[in-house]
Amino acid sequence: MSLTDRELWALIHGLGLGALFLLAFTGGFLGLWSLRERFITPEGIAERIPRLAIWTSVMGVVAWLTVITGTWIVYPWYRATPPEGTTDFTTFPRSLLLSLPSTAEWHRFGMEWKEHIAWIAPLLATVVAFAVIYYGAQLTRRHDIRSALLVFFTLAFAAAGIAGLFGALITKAAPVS
Amino acid sequence: MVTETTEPITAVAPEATTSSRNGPVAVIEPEEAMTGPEIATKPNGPVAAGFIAAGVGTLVIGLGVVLNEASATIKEAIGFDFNAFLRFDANYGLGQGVGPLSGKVTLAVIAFAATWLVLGYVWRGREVPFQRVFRTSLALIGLGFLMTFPPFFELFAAG
Repeated sequence: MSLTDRELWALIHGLGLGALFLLAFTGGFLGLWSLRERFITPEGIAERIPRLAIWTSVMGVVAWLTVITGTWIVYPWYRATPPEGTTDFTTFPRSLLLSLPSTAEWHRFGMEWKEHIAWIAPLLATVVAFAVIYYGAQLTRRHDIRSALLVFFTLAFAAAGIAGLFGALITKAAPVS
Repeated sequence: MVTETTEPITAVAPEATTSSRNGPVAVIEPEEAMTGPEIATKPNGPVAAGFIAAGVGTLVIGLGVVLNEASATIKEAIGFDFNAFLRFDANYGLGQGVGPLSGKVTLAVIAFAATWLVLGYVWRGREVPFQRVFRTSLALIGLGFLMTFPPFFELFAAG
C-alpha cells in the first residue's frame, strides 16, 4: 500500500484541495445566503462575518492552489510526450487516451474543457472573498452586492465542479501514475 | 458609467452618497426594511472593479483558447504563431511541459489583476451603477465560458 509522487500530487490536487473547496463553498454559500438583517441580530452579524470571511477566503485560496498544482505539477505528467517507439502508454495518460477511439473524447472534450474552465473559479472566488472582507457587516445592507456575490460564488463552484468531475473521470480512465 | 459620490444614485435600493470622517460612503436604506433609517456603507467602486476584472480574466482565458486553436490559420494569414507565443513555460521558464496553457492562464491572471488595479483606482471612493457592472461582468464571463467549450473553439481549428 503505497503512492508514487505523481499519485500523491494527483490526490492532493483532486481529492484534498477539491474536498476542501467543496466544504468552503458550502459554508460560504450558506453564510452569504442567510446574511440578511431581518434574519440576524446585530450581535449575530458581528459573530458571523469573521467566519464568512474565513470560509470565502479559504475557498479563494484553495481554488488558486488547486489550479496552480493542477497546471504546473500534475498536468505536465498528463501531457508528457512518450519517446519514439513507445507502445506502452501507461505512464503517458494523454497518449493513452488518444490511442483508442473509445477513450479519445476524454481528452478532446473532457481534458480540453477542464484545463481551461477550472481557472475561472479562482477569479470569481477571489472577488467574493474580497467583497466580504471589504464590506464586513455592511454586506447585510448591500442586497445588490450580496445577490451578485451569490451568483459569482455559484459560478465559481460550477466551474470547479465541471473541472473536478472531468478530472475524476479522466483519472479513472487514465491515471497519472 | 461612474457616478460621483455627491450625486444620488439608483440601484436595487434607493441610494445616495456622502462623505464621512473616513472618506466617501454610500448611503443605503436597509434591504428589507425600506422605511428604516438610512445607513452608510462603503462605496462599491473597488468591489465593482473586481467584478469587471473577473469578467475580463475569464474572457482572456477564452480568447487564449480560441487564438491557440486558430494559430495555424492566423500564422498563415499574418505570420504570428500564437501557439508558440503562448508557451510561457518554454519562453519564460514558467514551469516545464505545461505548453500553451501556461501562457493562456498567465495572461488571464495578469489581465484580471491589472483590470482590478486600474478600475479600482479609477473607481476608488465612488459608487458606480452596480447592476450595469454586474450585467457586464456576466456577459464577459459568459463569453469566456463559451470560448472554453470544446465544440465552440474547435470551430476555429485549422482544417
